[in-house]
Amino acid sequence: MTEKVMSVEEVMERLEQLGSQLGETLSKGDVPSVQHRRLSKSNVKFDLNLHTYELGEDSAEIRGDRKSSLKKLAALAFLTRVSHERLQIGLSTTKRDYYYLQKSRHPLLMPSNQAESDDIIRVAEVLHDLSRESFGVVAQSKGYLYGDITLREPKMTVNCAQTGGDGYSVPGNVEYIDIKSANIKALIAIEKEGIYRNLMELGIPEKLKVGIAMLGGQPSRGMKRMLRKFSDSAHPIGILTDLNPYSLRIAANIIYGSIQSAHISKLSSANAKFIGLECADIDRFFPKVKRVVLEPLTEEDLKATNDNISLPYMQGDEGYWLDENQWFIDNQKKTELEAFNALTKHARDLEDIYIQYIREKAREKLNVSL
Amino acid sequence: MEADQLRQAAELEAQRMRESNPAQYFERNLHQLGFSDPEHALLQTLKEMIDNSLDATELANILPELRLDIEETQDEITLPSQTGRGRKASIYRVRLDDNGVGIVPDKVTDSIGKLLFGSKLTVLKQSRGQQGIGISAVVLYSQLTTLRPTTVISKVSGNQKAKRVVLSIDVERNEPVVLEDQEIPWDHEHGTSIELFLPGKYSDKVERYLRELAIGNPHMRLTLAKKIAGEESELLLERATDHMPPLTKEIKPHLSSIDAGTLHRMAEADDDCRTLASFLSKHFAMVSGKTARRILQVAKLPPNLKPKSIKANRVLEAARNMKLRRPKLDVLSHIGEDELRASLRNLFPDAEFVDAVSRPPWSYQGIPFRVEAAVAMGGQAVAAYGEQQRRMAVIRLANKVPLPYDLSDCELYRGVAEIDWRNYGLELGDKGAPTESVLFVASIVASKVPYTSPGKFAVARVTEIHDELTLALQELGRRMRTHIQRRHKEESATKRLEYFRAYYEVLAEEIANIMGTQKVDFEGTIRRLFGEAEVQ
Repeated sequence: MTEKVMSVEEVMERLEQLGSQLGETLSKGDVPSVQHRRLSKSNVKFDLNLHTYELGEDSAEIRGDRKSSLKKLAALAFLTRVSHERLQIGLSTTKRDYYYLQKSRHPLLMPSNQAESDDIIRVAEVLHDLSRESFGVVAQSKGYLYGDITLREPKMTVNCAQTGGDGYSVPGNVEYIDIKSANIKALIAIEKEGIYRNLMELGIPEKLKVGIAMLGGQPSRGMKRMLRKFSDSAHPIGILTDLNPYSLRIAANIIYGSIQSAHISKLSSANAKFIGLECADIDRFFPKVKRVVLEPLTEEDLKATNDNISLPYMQGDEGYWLDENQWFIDNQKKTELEAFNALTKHARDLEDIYIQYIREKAREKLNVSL
Repeated sequence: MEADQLRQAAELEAQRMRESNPAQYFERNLHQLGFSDPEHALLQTLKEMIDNSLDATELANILPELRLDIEETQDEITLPSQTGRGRKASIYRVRLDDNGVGIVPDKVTDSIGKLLFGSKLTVLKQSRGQQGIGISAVVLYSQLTTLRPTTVISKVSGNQKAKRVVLSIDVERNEPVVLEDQEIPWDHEHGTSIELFLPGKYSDKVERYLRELAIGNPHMRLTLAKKIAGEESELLLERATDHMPPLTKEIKPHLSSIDAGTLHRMAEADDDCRTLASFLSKHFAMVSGKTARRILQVAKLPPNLKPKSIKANRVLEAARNMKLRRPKLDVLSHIGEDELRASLRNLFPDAEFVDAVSRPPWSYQGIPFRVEAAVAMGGQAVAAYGEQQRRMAVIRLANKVPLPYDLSDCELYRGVAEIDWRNYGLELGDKGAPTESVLFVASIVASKVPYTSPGKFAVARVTEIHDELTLALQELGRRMRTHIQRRHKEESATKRLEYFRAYYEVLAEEIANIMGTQKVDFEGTIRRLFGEAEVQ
């Protein structure tokens, strides 16, 4: 299911719709009111069929006859104007930028903290049905992309294997970036920088014809959106993380989305698969170094595990996620991607170990033979 | 001196006292009784005349209609002053017409021209006159200063003609001297008119006094026609209610309110009662024959003792120890909450808030009293009244008569000033007076008002009265606080409108920015939200 990427012009038109709707209401002497799907945890549902978080049908109303609502309405119009104006000249805005903009607009619009101006941005997202990146409010950039992938940016076309450095730095706003071509059989999204760089250095993406992405922990919105673009263009995606409860959550967030971003459907990649490290890998790939690589689970880890068990997206896949979590409780252990190093006697061993692991997992989980 | 000489001197003095009649007494003491300066004298004159008229109407359940003429004549006289150089004062003609029952023709001369002394010694009754010195003293003052006689016209209902008498007082004999006596046609059904001349000084205090009087007497209609420095003007103080105040009742004194000397004199003067026990039960409230015998038992006096042989101190001490029942309290005529509110509304028509509290009757030292308090807040009329006051504006009424002097010595003022009004939502300025215009009324009616001095301008501190006044003011304060809180809400409604406008201003600007158009007019929306009236 490929979503059509909106052009800047189309986004601006959508912003103008709000302006003209409010303008008409005022010129008729009517009281403006704006309806949107309610942004609250209780209105977020996990769709078991689509395997994703979705905002429910509960609606909220921003009304021009309510003192409490008026500030929001005025701020929404202000944010819409700022976005419209900045899209025109191609200037991006961060949440923090917008916080300062709203602070200085009018004493009555003064937000009490950044959470308040952030909330306006979230309302604008759900109201316009656009991610904030579409209207120029971008997240921090984080993460890299490497491999024979050609991306079309608004101003240039770039191949992710020819950027130098650590690969293509995924920007905060990938909304207006298309995948022009991707000469890869799969994309492996990796939690940590060490193994990502080793794979690059060992030339594995070229040897296996895969793309690799470095998430750097919980992925940025730009990275999630980028992964979604690969997912939408039917590229198999495998997620490779540490073996601990937090990493399970990173994987699940990519696949199913999160409660916080339930109103933006474009941030989850339903086609992505978790390939490891999974609990079965310990006995399968690390039998001789088990004692060495397994580290004790901390109190916080255990708490995270218990929290995981109650999360909706951990209930799917025929109990797979619950079993993974249960393993942490039963064994009180965890390990990290760096554990692969424990399997090597010499440096040259690492390439084979990685290739073997990725091949087997790609075949099993992604149904792709490398 | 020898003992004999001392005794002789005392007997001589006693004889002189007996010979001194009331007229002579007043002549000597006028300055202590409110005639110390021309301004005060004019006010005191008006007070005595009006008191008489109000009493004369209320007795017969008549709604008072008074017409007061004050004219500054061309004549001047020089009054004695402390510097010895004398002091010039204009002579005023003062005339008061009332619609009271009138005086039967035979009694007109005596009732005005003869000073009666001590008639109220043993009878307690709430009355205006209790506070003053009587109309005769005014006549006397007029005569002593201007050498002019007083003219009285009076007509009783049913008579064809009115009696007109011009009289003066023979001070030596305490007898009226009739200079003219005739029957004249008079267009009043009944009533009395008194006209006299006195050296005076007209000031704002006169009208203020009359307005305050109107607050205490909401059933009164008074027209003031004045000609001061050649300028004529008229002021109508319309009545605020058609209800007559309740009638007052006479009561016997209570043993706890009487001093030994008075008790002794009463017993000496009594010729009717055979025994002391019957004397006590006849002349005092809450003393039955049985109680009287018990008092005497406690006082260790035989019940069949002659009244003249009374041991006053022992009787009073016994009575105090026995804790006699309180006097009957339903003998007073208070102003009334509705009436107070109506008269304040009448006088301060643009007041923002008006309310009144009447406490139930209570007693101090065996004397029934009743306290009332009222307040008027906001509006230009209240502000104008307050501007003339340096401190907390308090109108003081004692038996419905204003007390224009000795403010800070008066319990009615101090009771108000001692309350921390900030607790009731009022903001106070540097000097402890409210920053907004507030006017309090503190009123006491009593069978006998406790004054600080014989001058009778200030109510003395009595615990029971202080407590009752405080309770009344606290209740009033709670109602004021409710009002002030409601006003804060209304103010915030105005703020709300400004607030909405400011937001719609931003909204309209931003819409114009997005669309690249002129700013949309949003006043239609504001009108829709607030209504036409409020937007104005």
